[in-house]
Amino acid sequence: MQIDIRDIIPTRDEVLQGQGYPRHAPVKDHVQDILTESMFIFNDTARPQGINMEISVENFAEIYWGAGKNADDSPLQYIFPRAVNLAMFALTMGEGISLKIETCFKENNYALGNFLDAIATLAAENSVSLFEKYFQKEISGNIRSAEDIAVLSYSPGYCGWHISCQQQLFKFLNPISIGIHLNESFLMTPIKSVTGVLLACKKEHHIFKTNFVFCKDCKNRSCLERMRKLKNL
Amino acid sequence: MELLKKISENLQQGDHAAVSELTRQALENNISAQSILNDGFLAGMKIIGRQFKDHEIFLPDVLLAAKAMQAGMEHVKPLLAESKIVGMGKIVLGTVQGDLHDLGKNLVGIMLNGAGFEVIDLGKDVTPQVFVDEAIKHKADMIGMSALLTTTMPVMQKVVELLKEKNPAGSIKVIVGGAPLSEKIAQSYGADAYAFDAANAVEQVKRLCENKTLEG
Repeated sequence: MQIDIRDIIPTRDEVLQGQGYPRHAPVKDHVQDILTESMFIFNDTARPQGINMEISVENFAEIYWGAGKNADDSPLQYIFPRAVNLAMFALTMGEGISLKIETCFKENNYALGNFLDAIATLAAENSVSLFEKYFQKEISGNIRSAEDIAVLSYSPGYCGWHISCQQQLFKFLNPISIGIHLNESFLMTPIKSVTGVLLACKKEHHIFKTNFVFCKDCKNRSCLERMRKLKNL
Repeated sequence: MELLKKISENLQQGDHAAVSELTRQALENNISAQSILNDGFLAGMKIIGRQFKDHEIFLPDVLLAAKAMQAGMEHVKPLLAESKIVGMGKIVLGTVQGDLHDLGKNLVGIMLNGAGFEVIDLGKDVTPQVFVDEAIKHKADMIGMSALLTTTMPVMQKVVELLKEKNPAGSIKVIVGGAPLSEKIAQSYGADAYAFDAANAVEQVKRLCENKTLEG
């Protein structure tokens, strides 16, 4: 599935805020110029694409528990058995953008490389949101009381789902077909790639208390924002 | 000196072309490489570091200043090497074996360079053996390691263990950083310091170097 860059490219403000700029803070002209250049390069170089495939609760359980290294207790183990629909997904921004970022740093174009990295990261996150929306739309015709259902993504490496489960996920989905490869430590290349599961559940089933063992060391805390949004829906 | 002040100011503005040209002029005017480094580049980067810490400027400004410093260093580096001028210290830097995410490591390298440290960047996916061999070969003061994932961070402990074996005197210190790490984990691995971000890495490396001098 090709992803339209226009649907995922972050706004200038989003990129700047990711670099620590407060909203509406003045930005020097030459920083603005480099941001413009990096937006242009991303548009020109990124080749975003993805795949997704529906999966049953039973088959996903095999992927989830397969490696046997997950946390003893995790939110996902309570969420996925209650999902009404599930789909595995993988997406990438393409190899070209990763190579370009690498080249920028090698050639001392640090600010450009850093902006490109930030744009690619945000675009990958936006692509996941896009997949969530597509899946929501896809299933909404088939289920009753679709308005109570929300689709959220979960990825190996987060919230107690061990990253080694990427092996099982790759066997099922074959992301190699869109150019994503896995190394011996279960990291993907190109690095701006994301995999995971889309779970369509009742909204309240996605909501959990952040008191799992791994929560205290988590610096991400994006789950709180996701749950806050769900509560406001 | 006016030229050195201009170098510092243009560096702070991130004007790499101006810094390159002014450095060339300074050398033509027989200003020593050491003065250009200390009173031009490092003076400018010190202000940049302070402004960044105080949130007066942001990461892109720091990176532009670092690029400007690199442009000037191109002229000065061969002279510094010739006259064997010693910098703040030498650090071997890399992302651990199996890990391909090197943005954080790159930022640390850039900021350490800007603070006057010599950085030997080993890149990403670096094995423990390479970390230790390169640190010994370059007579480094320190090894700096970065990891993004919990699956790759245990490699850091392997480096510490191998280093103890090959450098029993403990002259080479170890600093670690990366998203999944914490002070506690760093200590459990036997690292000498933990840095929570690139700016903090510079402070920690300076502290370790000062302690090393006192120990020596």
